[in-house]
Amino acid sequence: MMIDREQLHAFVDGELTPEEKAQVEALLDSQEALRHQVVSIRSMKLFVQEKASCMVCDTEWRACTLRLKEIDKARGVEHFVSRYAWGLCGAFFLAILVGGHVTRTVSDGSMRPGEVARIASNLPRFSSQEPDQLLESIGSAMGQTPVPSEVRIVGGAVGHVENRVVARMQLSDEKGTLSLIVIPGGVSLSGVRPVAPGSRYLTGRIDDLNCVVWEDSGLALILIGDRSPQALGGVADRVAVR
Amino acid sequence: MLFAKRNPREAFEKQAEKVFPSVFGTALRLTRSREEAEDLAQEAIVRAYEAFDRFDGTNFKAWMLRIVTNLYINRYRKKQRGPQMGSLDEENAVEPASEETEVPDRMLFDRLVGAEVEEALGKVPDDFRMAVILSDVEGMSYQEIADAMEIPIGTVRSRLARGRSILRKALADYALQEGYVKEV
Repeated sequence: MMIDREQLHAFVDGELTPEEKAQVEALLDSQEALRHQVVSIRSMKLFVQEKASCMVCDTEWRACTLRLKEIDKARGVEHFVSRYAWGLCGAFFLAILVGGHVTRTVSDGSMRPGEVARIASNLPRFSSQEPDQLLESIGSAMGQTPVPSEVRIVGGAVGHVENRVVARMQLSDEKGTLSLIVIPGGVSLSGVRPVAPGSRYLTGRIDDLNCVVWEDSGLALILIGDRSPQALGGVADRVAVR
Repeated sequence: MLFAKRNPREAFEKQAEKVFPSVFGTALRLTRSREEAEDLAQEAIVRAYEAFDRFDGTNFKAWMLRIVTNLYINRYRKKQRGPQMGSLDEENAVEPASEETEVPDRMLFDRLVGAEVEEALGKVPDDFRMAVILSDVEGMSYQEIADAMEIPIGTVRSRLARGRSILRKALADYALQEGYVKEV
């Protein structure tokens, strides 16, 4: 019986079946050359095992542990986000709702110019009422009414906008038309500054037009027109609240 | 297993630290470059950690070496593109001189040092070297080597036989070159 080289290696490695092993052992007893080969293979295997240097790799291992830590951190974040994604979305949504509510109800009452423009746009510029009727309507709605002099009342309306009583008067003089918005109670307008140092009038911009804002007898008055703040202040001087 | 569930990284690191010298050594012997070996070993550790919940709990070292070998075969060797010594097929492998020699092995190799053995290992073609490393250096069984290299056991046997023969020839050449023996 012949034995091949691969079988001899498998014999040395202990990878033969009991039957194959017995066959090889029988042949080894009778063939010296075969025994010599087995010894050679075995000593070679042991030699490589002994001499293959043991690797010093502490630095590389530390780098691996750092990488694993980073993976764990990333996993932690992913886990948190995937587990609480709906909760986070809900919290953001709630924050937006609460923020909106606070802005509307708990704020200091200051209004942005855009809000004034929006409120004013909800009232008609002109009405079928005569000026006297309009003033009477405003007076009955607010308890008092601004009465302009040296300017004509050409229209206006009074009504409820966003739970506020608001009046709008359309005025006219030789220089053009003006709008007077009347809101009861203190209304502070953001982004305004005094027309002049010590002036009772504040000025700002609404709808790309200059405006002056002032308070009189518990009414907030906003006069809007395409003219300078000083000129608007001059018109405001001629508005009395009665 | 309860511990493993509680702190999988700690459980993994505990096992991986023990076998890391084998992982890194195998990576180094396969790639022949410390830098690439670092990359390969680290990648293997990461892959193993990510798949740790699928480890069957039997032989961690064999499992790790299987990952290293697979990574090397699939990634590093493809990357190298150029002609590979390891591309020699079984039939065309260099057949070394007869293993029978009049010079006793001990006399031949005893004076060689570890670095020279590593050098000689590097001269063995890729596929054969892989089989020799996994069997002789790491002590893996034929079945484990077959699983790691994704080849049949018959191929493992032939690669081991030829790989060892080539290594023996390389070591003998070394011994002769260094003057440890006068003739082989």
